Amino acid sequence: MADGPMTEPFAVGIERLRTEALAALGSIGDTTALEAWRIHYLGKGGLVTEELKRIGGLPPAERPAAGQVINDLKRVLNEALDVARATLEAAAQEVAAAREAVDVTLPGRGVDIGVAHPLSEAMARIEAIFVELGFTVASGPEIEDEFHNFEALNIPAHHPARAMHDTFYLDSGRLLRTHTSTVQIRYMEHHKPPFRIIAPGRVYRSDAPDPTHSPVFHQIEGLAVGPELTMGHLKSVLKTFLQAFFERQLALRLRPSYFPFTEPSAEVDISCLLCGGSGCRVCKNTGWIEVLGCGLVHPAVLARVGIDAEALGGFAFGMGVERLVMLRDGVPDVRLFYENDLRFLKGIGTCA
Amino acid sequence: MRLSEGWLREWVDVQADFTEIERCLSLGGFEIEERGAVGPDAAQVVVGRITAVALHPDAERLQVCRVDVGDGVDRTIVCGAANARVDLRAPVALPGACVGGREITVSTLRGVRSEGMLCGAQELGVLAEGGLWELPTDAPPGLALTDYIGKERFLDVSVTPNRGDCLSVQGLAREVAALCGGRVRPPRNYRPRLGGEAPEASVTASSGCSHYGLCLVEMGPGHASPFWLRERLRHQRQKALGTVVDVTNYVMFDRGQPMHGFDADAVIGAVEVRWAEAGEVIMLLDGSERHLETHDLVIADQQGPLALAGIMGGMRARVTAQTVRVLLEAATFEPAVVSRTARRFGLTTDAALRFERGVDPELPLAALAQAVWLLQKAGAVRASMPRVWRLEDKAPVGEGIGLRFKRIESLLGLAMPAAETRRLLRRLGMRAVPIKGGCQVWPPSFRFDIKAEIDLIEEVARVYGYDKIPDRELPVAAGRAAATAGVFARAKRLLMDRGYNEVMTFSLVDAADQEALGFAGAVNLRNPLAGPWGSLRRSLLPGLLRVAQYNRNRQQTRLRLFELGRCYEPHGGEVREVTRLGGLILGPRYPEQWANPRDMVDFFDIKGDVEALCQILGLDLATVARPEPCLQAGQSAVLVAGEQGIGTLGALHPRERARFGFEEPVYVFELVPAVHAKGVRMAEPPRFPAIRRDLALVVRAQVAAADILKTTREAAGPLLRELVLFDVYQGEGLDFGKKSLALGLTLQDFSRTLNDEVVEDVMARTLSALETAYGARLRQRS
Repeated sequence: MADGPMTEPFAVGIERLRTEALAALGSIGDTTALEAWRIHYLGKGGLVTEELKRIGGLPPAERPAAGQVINDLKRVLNEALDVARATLEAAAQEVAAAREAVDVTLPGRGVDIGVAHPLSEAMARIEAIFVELGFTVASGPEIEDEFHNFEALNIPAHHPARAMHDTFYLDSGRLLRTHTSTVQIRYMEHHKPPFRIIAPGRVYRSDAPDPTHSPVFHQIEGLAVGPELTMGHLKSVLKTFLQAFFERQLALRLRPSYFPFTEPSAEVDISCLLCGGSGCRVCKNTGWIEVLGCGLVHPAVLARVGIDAEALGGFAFGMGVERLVMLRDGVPDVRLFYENDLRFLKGIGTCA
Repeated sequence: MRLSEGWLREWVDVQADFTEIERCLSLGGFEIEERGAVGPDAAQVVVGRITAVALHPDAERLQVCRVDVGDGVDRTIVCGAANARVDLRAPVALPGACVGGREITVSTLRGVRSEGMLCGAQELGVLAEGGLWELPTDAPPGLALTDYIGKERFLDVSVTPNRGDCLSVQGLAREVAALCGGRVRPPRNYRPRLGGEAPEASVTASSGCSHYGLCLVEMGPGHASPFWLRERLRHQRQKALGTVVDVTNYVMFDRGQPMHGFDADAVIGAVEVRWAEAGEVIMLLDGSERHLETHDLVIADQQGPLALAGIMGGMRARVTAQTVRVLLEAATFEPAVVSRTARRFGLTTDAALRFERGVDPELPLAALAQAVWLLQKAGAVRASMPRVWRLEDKAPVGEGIGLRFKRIESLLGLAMPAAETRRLLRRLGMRAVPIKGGCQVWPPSFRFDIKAEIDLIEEVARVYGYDKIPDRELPVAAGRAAATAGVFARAKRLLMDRGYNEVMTFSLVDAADQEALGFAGAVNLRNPLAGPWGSLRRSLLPGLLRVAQYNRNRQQTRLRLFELGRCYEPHGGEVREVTRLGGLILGPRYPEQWANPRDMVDFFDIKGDVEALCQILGLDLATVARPEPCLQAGQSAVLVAGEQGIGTLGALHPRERARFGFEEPVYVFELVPAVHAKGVRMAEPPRFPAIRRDLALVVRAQVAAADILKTTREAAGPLLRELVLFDVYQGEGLDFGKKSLALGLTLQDFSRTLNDEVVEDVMARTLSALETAYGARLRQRS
């Protein structure tokens, strides 16, 4: 064992080594240099290992203290190494992230989402409301016969009410139903009361298209037959429905009217959606807007389908889907629904 | 029906003001369509008297009038009306007045100074009659016109078809009395001076005419309808047409009884009410010639038809200014008879409107008396006794109609006191006699619409007020949506999420469109509207294409549309209504955006959407190449589920593309969305690993991918879990007419780990089957 010209205490040499190593570590800027540093000091043949080997040359009494000093050195250098490595890695990630940075305000990739037609959407909503009120959804044919469209509904051949239904006929003598009231008859022919149904569907009148007329349009018919059904029930069902559909509190008014297949018959007004009843352009200063027709099913209609009108009663109502949507969403012209201008279909929410 | 206030108040004594009357009518079942004032709204317009008329020196058609407007200085007014004459009283618009939106000033007309304007009713906006408005000879010059004729408010009342009795001022007055709590005044007792023989008539068509009344009136010289009567007609928007017609019109509006006048000297022999003979022809007052059938009711003489009963008179015996002897008719014709004939000829006259809805059978005699009285005031000199033939005694129901109070309660949900019920009935002019549990009711003759208990209940409810019926909650019950609703909603949502917009088009389409697209044989309307709506759609495509065209013409370049709706399929004499789902795409695949590629849609875009749809509908779908008339050859396919063709898919035929004006390719699909929703069955995930093997095959280009996949599935057998076609290649490196298909097979056994031997065996079997069937060989790696 060759001692240096100036033997110094073991601990002093270790202390110098520590200072030197930490100083070297402080100037390292990349992972390669860091690895070289590790090998130089802490590797198998590194300076710290060399020092360890020297312990054997010390007097036995000094050995435990020297061992302690070396272990401390190893721990300190290893800790410093971990810190330096973590710092370098973080710096490297930062650089990489900067390279991959994007403009997060750019729009996302993908397709746009389409919209439902306002009429079909409204019909789905109306159906859902009535299903909750205990009504079952029924349907019937659009190509009808005179019996179901007129006679069974108390509208005989030369009844003045027929003139109000400008009817399209087919060569076969059949016709396109002028109202969904036909489904009342079709349903009652095949089902035993009690029941509550609604029947949404297309109806036809030979009116040339204009802002308030369309040869093809949609109605929803309602019918309830059972024991002890009164005008009072009809009022409450309609009120519940209309408030749910228009999503607000409304005043309701029933005005006597005439439909051949109901008696008593009524037109239903709601308080004006725009002015709330104080009078405006929309309600023609009356404060009221007409929304649908209704009544108690005429005993003759029940009798014709074999229902005992003394034991069972019923009510019916019918409404135009286009009209309801026009009122609700402020659509000014019924033709817009059938032009299908995408700008209209997508922007209907801004109409009101 | 027009209702002017003064006329109404002549019939009813009621406290309510006009606004309250309007409210009562509206809540009593009479919708008010319009309200306003019966014009003219004319400030600075006064009564003038023409004192002198001279020709204009410099204009052939103009006259220079001197007009007294009550201030002592006659004014000069230039006028072009033919009826300007000395002593005529007519409205004069003074300088400063506003007539027809134009301010009247002192002006010079062809060199003559004119200090105002002589006005016609038309110019004052009150009636479409030409010439100066002739005011009565006692109208004081200088009086403001509105002060002279009064200013009346009016309501336009909509009368439902069951209330024919309310198509008159008297009828509505009865309603006002019942609804507002007033008293109807009885009709005036008209006592015309009568004498001489009543005219003869015979009614052979008694099923068409229950009452027929006639009266012969002789007009004196210079007869004219009075100004007040013409004013009343004006309130009804009815032109003055001469004394006799004015009077009969007035009685109709006043009482509801349509009347007709014949020139008695043009009638040959006695009048007959009979059915027309087939082939008879009548020329009507409107100048039209009508060919009659045996169910048309006519008034005829020996020579033939004189009038279409209850609808319109004929030319031959029409009343003119020269007519001296007038045969006045007031009758009750059968509603269905009048309605049928009027409808067939498309005639909507005031008379037909009333007869179709019913006219009080008690009216003819009263109407004749009133008309004769009015005619005598207007210059008739003689009148016969009126005579009414009663053919069918339509007396009101003899024993009356029973009304049970319990029934009122069970229908209205309202217990109404018995006394209140009877009071309401009496207010409506009905006789109500108490019986046990109800009352016996006799409606008046004008309420011919009341036939049964339910009619009485409606009347009671109507007058009582619907608003007083309390709301009653329905008992809870479960409702059901349509069976298909959930799946259809899901399918629609899928399409919308894939960017499709829902459209709704008419079920009536252009027949030419249908034919061009290959949907010939559709059901057409017998009475279509003018326009492209004559044919019931067999397919949604015509509608979708029209919508695409509409939007394409409005700068929309990327379209995705769908419609779910019924189509109408002729089927052995019947027509089936089938719900179809159709879609259309054109333009770029993705919306324009910085990160999206710019390529255009192709066949496989729409096919992918259809495949996704079929998953939702639970359909096992196969696509079979087959030409369709509306699709482009080579990109045309039918969709087959099981054995059944359920739709089509492909590129729109270039011919149709050109016809609709599309520059870019258009892809469409249409199918019958029969629902076979199977639902997903849960299963435990397999525990043993799957093995994936790929096959790169070379086959002839014509071999359908579907066939390769089918054979692969069959040959690979039950171990095949998944099969993907992950590459298709044609071109360099392959022989001409060949293509390469790359298949990925995922094999898995649920009970053990597969070993190589088994896997190799499956692959070899598969390849061999493909070789045998299609001459497929493995692609050589280059």
